[in-house]
Amino acid sequence: MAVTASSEKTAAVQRVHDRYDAMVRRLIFTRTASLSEQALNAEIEPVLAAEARLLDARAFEQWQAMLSDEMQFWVPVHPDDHPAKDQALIYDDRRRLSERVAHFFDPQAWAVVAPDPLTIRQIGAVEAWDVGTEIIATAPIALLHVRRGAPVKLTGREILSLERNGAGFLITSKTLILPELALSTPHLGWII
Amino acid sequence: MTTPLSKAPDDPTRPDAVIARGPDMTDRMNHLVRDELLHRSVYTDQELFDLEMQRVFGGTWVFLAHESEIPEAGDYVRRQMGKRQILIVRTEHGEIKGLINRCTHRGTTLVPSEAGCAKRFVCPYHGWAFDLDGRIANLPVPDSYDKLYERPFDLGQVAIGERAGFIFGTLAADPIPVDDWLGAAGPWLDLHVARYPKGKMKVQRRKVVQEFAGNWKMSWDNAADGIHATFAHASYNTLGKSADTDTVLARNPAATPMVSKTLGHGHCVVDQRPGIPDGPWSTMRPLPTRDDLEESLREKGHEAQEMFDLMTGDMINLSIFPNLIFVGNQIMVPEPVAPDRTKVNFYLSMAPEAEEEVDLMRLRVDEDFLSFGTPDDFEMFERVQEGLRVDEEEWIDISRGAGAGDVVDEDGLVTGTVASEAPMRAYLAEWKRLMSKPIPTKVRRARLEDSRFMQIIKKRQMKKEKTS
Repeated sequence: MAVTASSEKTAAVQRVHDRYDAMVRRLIFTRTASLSEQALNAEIEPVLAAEARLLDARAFEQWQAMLSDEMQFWVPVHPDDHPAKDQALIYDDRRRLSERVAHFFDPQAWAVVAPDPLTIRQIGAVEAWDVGTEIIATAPIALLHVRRGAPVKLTGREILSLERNGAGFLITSKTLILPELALSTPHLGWII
Repeated sequence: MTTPLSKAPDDPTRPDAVIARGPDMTDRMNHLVRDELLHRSVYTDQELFDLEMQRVFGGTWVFLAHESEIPEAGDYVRRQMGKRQILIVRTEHGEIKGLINRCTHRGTTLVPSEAGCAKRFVCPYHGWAFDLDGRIANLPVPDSYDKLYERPFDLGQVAIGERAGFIFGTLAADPIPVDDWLGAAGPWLDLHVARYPKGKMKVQRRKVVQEFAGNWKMSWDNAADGIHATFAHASYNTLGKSADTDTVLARNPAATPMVSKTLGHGHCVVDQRPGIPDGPWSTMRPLPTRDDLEESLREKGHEAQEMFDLMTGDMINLSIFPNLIFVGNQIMVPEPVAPDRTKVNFYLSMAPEAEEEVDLMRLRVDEDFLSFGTPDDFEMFERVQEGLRVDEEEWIDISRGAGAGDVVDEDGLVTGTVASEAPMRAYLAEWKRLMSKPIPTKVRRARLEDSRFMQIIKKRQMKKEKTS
């Protein structure tokens, strides 16, 4: 059978493209969005702070409870990348994210255990916008990771999308922009 | 006044001088690299590292780029050959040149970015301009030089060789042809590309670069090491098992029919196919977008295994010494930084002539091992480097397989099980050969008489001399 390309797009492949395009749209939106409203910022800031705190505490069960089933997690190599065109450091769906968590507790996952990593995520000013279909939030973030060898310090920006869930919120996507990926970093097997 | 090219042929200041640098190391190499033993300093010594940057990364062919990265005239990528930055450029005539990214005036690097498209390369310091083929095209105040046309200001170049779209370069004055150097590895390289529809492989623009605190040769010790897959990558195999999948690494190394082969000049291959009867795609567990992309392919009428297998690697780990390692769909290029520091460039190869689902899947497939496999390799490399600091434990045993399973053919090439350390011994033999003697090298340059700019200057200056 021929393995070369046909031109028609199926509904299934379109779904993949739509998810990827939405991730890129959120990222681009935050670059030039107008001033955010204080009230929404104040509502969203505890969500981002709690997410960072739970990850640092390795409280992954509580952390996963903050995520939507549709959760996407993207760490592009460069902020101009597109998940349909460029390999990323990470592009996870909800399933691979839970594998990542399970991996952190596998005693044979030599690069991420013994000694267990110590991390601090420091979140800067949180800005959030209600764009109708979802809430988009962004904040600068500094990460410190200590395990074996030299401490790893990274600075970046996170972009989250959220949906209202009763009185609270569920995170539907997270993009982590880390400029140092454009040069070189140690392995980032611990990043989530 | 003596001009550069009127100097005696053996004058080392000539721009085209052939020079063999550094001391004869034969005795020291014989001490450090033995049939079954290897000395720790091969991984730790600064002097050996500095010599490697000349003799291994310069004195023999090294991988620089793939032709799909520079499809159009003016396209270039910047690559590292030891300490030298090399621009791999497509000229107006479609030729490929390897230009040293160094202005011939004061030494400024011409290009600050990793890739781009240029009409010519202009030095930002004093405005010297060079054509895509390296010839000097212009410089300011040319009359301030006496006999400018006899000065070798064209950019330095490396020799370029190609096979199956892969571009190699060397500074060796008299290198053997690339096909001879590849030898038995050449057909494996051809085979790697042949699986791509219409024979077209494309290297993605974006690479992942990660570094480890260890010597670059750790990558080589690991490349054909079939035992580490079971232990170092136990956690990757656990992820597979949790989804009822046997990863390619989850095979019993004592029983698998996978084989490793040495291919000459330090090259080697591990053929995993005999151990994967259900084909490459059977080794992959559920991945992001996999369900949608498989559904899409089936909807288009694709049921053949071949299409699905194309989404992951070919299960042939080919390693071309000193810096080209194929694993999965990734092209790993180790880049030495210091005796105890190495960057690894992970390039992703794509199948542009296949259904788009294939490349969409390839993107997510290769993030998987980078997340759950590569970190464990790096962890091991760093811990080996830590262990090698013990001065009193001088030797590493590298004898596995020798006299215990290895089969040597009439050309001296070895076939063994995946437990054999024959590939390690083979690359170390090539390393030893390269490191033992000074290797004559030279910087190539465009021929002066071909430079239009220089012709104009020459005419003008001769006219001036006549009239005065």
